[in-house]
Amino acid sequence: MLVLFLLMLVCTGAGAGEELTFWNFWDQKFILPVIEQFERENPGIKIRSEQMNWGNGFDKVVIAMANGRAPDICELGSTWMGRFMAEGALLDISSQTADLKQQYLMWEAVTSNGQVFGLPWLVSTRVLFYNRQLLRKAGLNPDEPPRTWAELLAAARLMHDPKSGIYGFGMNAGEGHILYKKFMPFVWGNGGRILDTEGRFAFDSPATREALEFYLQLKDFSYCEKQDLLDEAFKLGRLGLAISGSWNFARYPVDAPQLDFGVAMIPRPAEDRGVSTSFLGGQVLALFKNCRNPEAAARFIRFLATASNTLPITREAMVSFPADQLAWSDPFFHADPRMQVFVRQIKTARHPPVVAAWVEIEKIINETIENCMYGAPADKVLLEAGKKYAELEQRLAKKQTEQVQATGLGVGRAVLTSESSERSGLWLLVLPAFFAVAILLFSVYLLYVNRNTASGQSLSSACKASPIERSQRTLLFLSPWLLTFLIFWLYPLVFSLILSFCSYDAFHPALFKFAGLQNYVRLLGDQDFARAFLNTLIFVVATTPVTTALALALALLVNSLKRGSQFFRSVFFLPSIISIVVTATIFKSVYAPVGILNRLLAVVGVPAQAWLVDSDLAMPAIIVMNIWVYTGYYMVLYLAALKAVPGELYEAADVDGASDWQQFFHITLPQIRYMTVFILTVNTIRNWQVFAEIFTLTRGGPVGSTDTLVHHLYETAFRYHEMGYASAMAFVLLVVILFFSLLQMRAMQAARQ
Amino acid sequence: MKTRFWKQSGTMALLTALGLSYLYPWLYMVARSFMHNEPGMSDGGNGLTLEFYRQIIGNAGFPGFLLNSMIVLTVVLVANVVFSLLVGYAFARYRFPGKKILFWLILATLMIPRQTLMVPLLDLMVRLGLYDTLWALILPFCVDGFNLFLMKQFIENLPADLEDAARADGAGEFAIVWHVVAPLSRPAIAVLIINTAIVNWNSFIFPLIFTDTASVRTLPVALAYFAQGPHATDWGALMAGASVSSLPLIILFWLFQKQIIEGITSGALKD
Repeated sequence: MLVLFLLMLVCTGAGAGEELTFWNFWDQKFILPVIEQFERENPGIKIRSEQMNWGNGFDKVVIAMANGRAPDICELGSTWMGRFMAEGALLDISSQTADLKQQYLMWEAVTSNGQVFGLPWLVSTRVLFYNRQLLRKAGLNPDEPPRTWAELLAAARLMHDPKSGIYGFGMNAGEGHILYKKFMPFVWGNGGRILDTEGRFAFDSPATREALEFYLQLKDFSYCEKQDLLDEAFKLGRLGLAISGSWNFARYPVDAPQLDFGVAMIPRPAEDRGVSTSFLGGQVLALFKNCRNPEAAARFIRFLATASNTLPITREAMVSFPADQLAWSDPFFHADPRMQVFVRQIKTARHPPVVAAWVEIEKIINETIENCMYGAPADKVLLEAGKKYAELEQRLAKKQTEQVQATGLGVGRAVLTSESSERSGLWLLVLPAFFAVAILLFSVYLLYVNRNTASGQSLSSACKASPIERSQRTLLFLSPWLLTFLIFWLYPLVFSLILSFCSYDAFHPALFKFAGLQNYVRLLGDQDFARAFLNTLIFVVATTPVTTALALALALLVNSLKRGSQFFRSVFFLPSIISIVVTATIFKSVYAPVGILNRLLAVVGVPAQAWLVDSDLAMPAIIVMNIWVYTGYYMVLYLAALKAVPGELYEAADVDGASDWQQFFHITLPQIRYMTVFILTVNTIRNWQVFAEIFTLTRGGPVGSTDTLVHHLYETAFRYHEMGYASAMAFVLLVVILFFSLLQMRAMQAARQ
Repeated sequence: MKTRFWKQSGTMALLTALGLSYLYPWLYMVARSFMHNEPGMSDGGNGLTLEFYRQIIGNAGFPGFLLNSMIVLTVVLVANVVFSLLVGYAFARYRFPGKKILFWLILATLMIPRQTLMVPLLDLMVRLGLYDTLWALILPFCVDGFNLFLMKQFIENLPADLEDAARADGAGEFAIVWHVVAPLSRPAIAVLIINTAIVNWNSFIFPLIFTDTASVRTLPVALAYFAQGPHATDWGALMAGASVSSLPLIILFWLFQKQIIEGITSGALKD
């Protein structure tokens, strides 16, 4: 069977159709009509559109790339372009787009060394939203929104009245990954920057420090929350000022028609100094290098990005505007004068640096802002940022030399294939090797078993069947299962293990390099990893025993009920039925500032807490949620075990006059011991891998307080594309869990004796 | 008698209080699925609507997504019950060389974050020609370390007398598993089915990565498209989707929970 399987492996992959694949994020009702029209006008070209979702779309792109299976055409976030272009993942479409230079915006995001690698499609920016009513109430002129930092600060201070639930300004917090979009406009407007003209890190400057100081002052009159909660608070008239995006125009007028709000350009440092600028970002259309028909694909993206084909998206979702400036004469932008503010701001807005390491730099900037917001001294944080950048630079330089070595004539044993055959690489080596070894081991095993049974050695003393029969039986029982296990679980496991000893980048699946223990050594000095490890340890220690004990207690209580036990069983089990992502989303509302938890606490006089934004509360909040969800689940397992305890044991104990407690410790606990072993082990394994809750609720924030191992690993693999490094983390985790599980089983075994 | 009554009432009261906290998110989910999105995420809505259900169930692809999910779940369930019983039995009762290593290897697949296995698995699927087919969502999940571990633990705890008696009567090993071990393991099998169903039915990231076309899309992946926007979650659609997709699981739980409880008490288990 294995041989057959190997044969199957040789004829790799299904031949792809002649269609060009196009991955995008939008509702297909916007895309399909455009494709239809395009296909009509260009007979012979077929485009197949696949919708990605915003939550996991980029994971899919990264994984596809790592397999050398990127789509022909792809919609990409503009801030990702620096990396994609530097890695050579995209096709140069300079000649196909040269005539659009004047007409379209945001070329800086798709240009590298003078070459163009994408067509700007959608652009968006942030502006200052102000509540006219609150301005008026504070004695300010609603027709003159703040234009300078000082005015912004003064207005926020005047409107700020937390006792009555009104806040001067809405400041992003608890979402580390978007902080820079709100903060950098102040730095940029003040003359500061992230990288200087030579590409050196120049974030720490008087201009930045001044902006930081201003921002922290503003924080005193701010409501600190996540973006969606800020938008909501503004909608409910509880925020005087907020920096937000055009998507609110799709909701505010419909949901809150009475809300009297205006928008203005982001304030500049002072009347006589600095400029008003904002964050510019958006979506671009790019062709991956393996695009099968670049000429047709380029024609298609040009067609799709035109004003008339893009405006429907803008009109409905109002998230972003066409990059095609021809669109701006559309009545849509003139019906509401506030739209013109966006148009003006887009023209002055700045795109973050388009460099290979932007995603990593973004993290450094975000961490700097976040740390300062959470009270760390600016001097220390900025120094730290500089250090982190230096480390990053070093790593990048090293990687670059490795890549140059690797691409140059395929020197070194490490390089198996050239870039032209991205699909092969490591796979071709590991795949046959793994299965060859598997077949070998299996044959040796068979021989061993046969020899043992032939010599009449008993494998089991308990049953009376002959040893030969028994070994054959075992094999018969195991074989189909074993085969599936071997192919779909053990092979990927072994592959990741090998990966953990390689430097392997999702962008260059063919260019892996054996790095020895390099990844593991790097882990030792990685402070973020250490923090993630500690966070996870806290999580495991806090959840596992509590969940298990509570599950047992609940099971005992439910079991002791004479009536209604079925009802309670269901009630406690229900939460485990919903996917954890949905549960976590529901808990977002439980933990919201005006959520049920804070309302209940208000009844007993406890002030409202920002559960997921406070760095001391976020982890406990997630721990409580996790315990809450899984207690019911393990309760059902315990119930199954409790029901299997023979009733005679209790009857006999009753006759002997044993108390309830004695019965529990001497009958129940030993009788369900096997289930406790199972629950503890499984629970520990799962808790070490906590991810979905973190990803949905906090993404590791605030200030890294909920960054767990798997979340950290996920970011490393899919955000920073370091698959080898992420694999090393996975195996450290594996060893840790293994250690804990062994310890647990030993302890349980000891307890039994 | 009296203390017993108070004990029962006290338990009942405690469980009711706890039960309410467990019901709240459910009620919230169902309530939000019928409400307009207007008042944001933390407040009750004004006015009921079937908009989200219409959007989901009325979608042309919905029957297909549902069918795909059901096919995948059915095959995976059957395979898991059969595999876990047989292999769990082998692990619990037989001694064979390499058993310990194999067992810990199986546990290791539970201990490694699945995110790490995605890249090699996707490559494998492509090479096997399974990419973008339902097989990619079925085959790897026919083997589950959790289920195997559960069955092994459970069968180990069963008295072996009945098996030995059947063996003495000349029953084959498969017959023993089917006629002796399986009936006694009903509670564990019920737990296994419910657990597998929850994991598989809600499975999101693997179907997302292993499939492309709408014809093999499963329900959770399809629902994610309804509920996610670039800057905010569409709460109504998300909650309606979750409500719709949890319905089959609730039915399954109701069907099997009796097995968990009644399986053994009615069985002839005398130690």
